[in-house]
Amino acid sequence: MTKNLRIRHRQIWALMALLLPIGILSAWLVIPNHEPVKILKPREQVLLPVIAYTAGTEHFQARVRTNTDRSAWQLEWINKTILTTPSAVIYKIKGETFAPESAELIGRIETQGRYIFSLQPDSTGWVGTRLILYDFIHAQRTDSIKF
Amino acid sequence: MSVSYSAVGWNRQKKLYDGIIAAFCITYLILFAGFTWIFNAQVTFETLIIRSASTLAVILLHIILAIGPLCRLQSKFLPLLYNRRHLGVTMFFLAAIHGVFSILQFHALGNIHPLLSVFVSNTNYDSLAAFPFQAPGFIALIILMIMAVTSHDFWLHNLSPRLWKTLHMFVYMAYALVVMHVMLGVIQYEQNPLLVILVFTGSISLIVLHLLAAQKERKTDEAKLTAKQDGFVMVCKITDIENTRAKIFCVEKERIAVYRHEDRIYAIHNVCKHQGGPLGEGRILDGCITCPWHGYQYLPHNGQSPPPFKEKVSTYAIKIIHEEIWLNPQPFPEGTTQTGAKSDNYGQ
Ligand code: HEM
Ligand code: FES
Repeated sequence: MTKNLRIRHRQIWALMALLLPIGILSAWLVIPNHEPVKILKPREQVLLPVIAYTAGTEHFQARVRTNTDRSAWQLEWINKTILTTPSAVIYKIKGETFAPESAELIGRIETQGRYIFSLQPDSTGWVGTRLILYDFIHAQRTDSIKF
Repeated sequence: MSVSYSAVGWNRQKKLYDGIIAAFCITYLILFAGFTWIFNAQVTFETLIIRSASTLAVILLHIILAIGPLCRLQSKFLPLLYNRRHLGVTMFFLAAIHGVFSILQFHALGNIHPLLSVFVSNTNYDSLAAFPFQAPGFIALIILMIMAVTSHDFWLHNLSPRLWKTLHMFVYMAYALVVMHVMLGVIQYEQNPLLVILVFTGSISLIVLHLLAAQKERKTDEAKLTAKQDGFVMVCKITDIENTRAKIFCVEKERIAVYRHEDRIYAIHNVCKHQGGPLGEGRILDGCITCPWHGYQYLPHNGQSPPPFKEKVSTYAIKIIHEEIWLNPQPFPEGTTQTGAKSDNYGQ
């Protein structure tokens, strides 16, 4: 390498040392409702016994489950048909207006199958709550379920 | 200079290297498929391809970018550098599989052109959280494609090594774009922080390695040589250089490799004509200075590659006074024969 090339490498990496951490950190900070760290937590497999609320459409079935003392909560989500958008995430909103930045992210699903997500206890209950299915590739809401 | 140096065993090494790359990739893909099957069996085959190829490409990209500084810091990594091109082309193919499958899976069914759809299906360019993260991925893939296509020595000769090197610096930009593609993409929708931690650790490691290597190089470039006489500068003692090896000195902004070959000292320009490898970090094999990066060879006394090759580097005048090596940094035209200098004590 010539000296000029070495200097250019050094300058590029000095710039990268500044820009990459800024980029990574700012992207990390805007992750909606990021949860406390639980690195290798396996996906929950065991269903809680009590079905507290249930709702569905012709494509999906959603059940909010809890245990007998109502200390733990789960969302059981079933795709009844195969999804046509393979980039779906589920958000929870109260009311009608939805914006991914402010909604609560429940989790990501694939095109088929059954999923279980743990939920934060919700003292206001689920009546009137909506689950939004959001396609993040095309930035559009594809479906919703109202409880 | 594309005929291989089979005499020094480069070809066997090349095959071994390719074998290791292939074995690593296959093992990774099998493990990825296995773990997906255990933990997330609902994933379709297309999604499995998209995710396994992308993550493997990112791992290879980190390895590729770490090889350069690792070799600067520790010469035992040099064999990795030798065949970095194959690693680069493999990485591009994996990234391309990921890109093509993503476009087919996510953009083929709409009523606009799939490539256009990558850029306009989400137009939140003013939002960080909802940014159209595929756009940086696409631009990175184009850069990686240009690198892969021009990586062959044919292009090196036709583009001039300088332009080629400049072109290949764009890989750093591609890397930054890939990092943002991942950070603004799946990471925004994935509650498991493993991917963020991996991306962050990977980037920080690369930054630290490159800065350390730059610091080390800077020391060589800024070392002060103060003893001067009639245009010559004193660089070191004869005993500082082992036979068949060299030391590198930066005199008047140029690096010069001072080699000891049998009982003589020779000096040639340190920059290999192939891709700028440091000739002074190689050694003399079969009577030729052999570049540590890919094995190009030069004769110590005239800086010329042995026939049939035509590469030439500059040579420099050397003299020895009281067992000290004195070098004249004024280069002779490339390929000029020099007698070198001999110590009075040699052979005694
Ligand atoms: C045409 C260019 C590209 C397109 C359209 C594209 C598209 C995508 C999409 C849609 C996802 C989310 C996939 C999912 O649902 O899991 C994704 C994720 C990802 N991409 Fe790309 N990408 C491109 C280029 C690249 C390149 C060049 C790299 C790296 C070398 C890369 C690395 C990744 C990684 C590591 C992920 C996260 C893991 C995954 O989900 O696959 N992508 N990309
Ligand atoms: S042989 Fe490739 S840089 Fe010297």
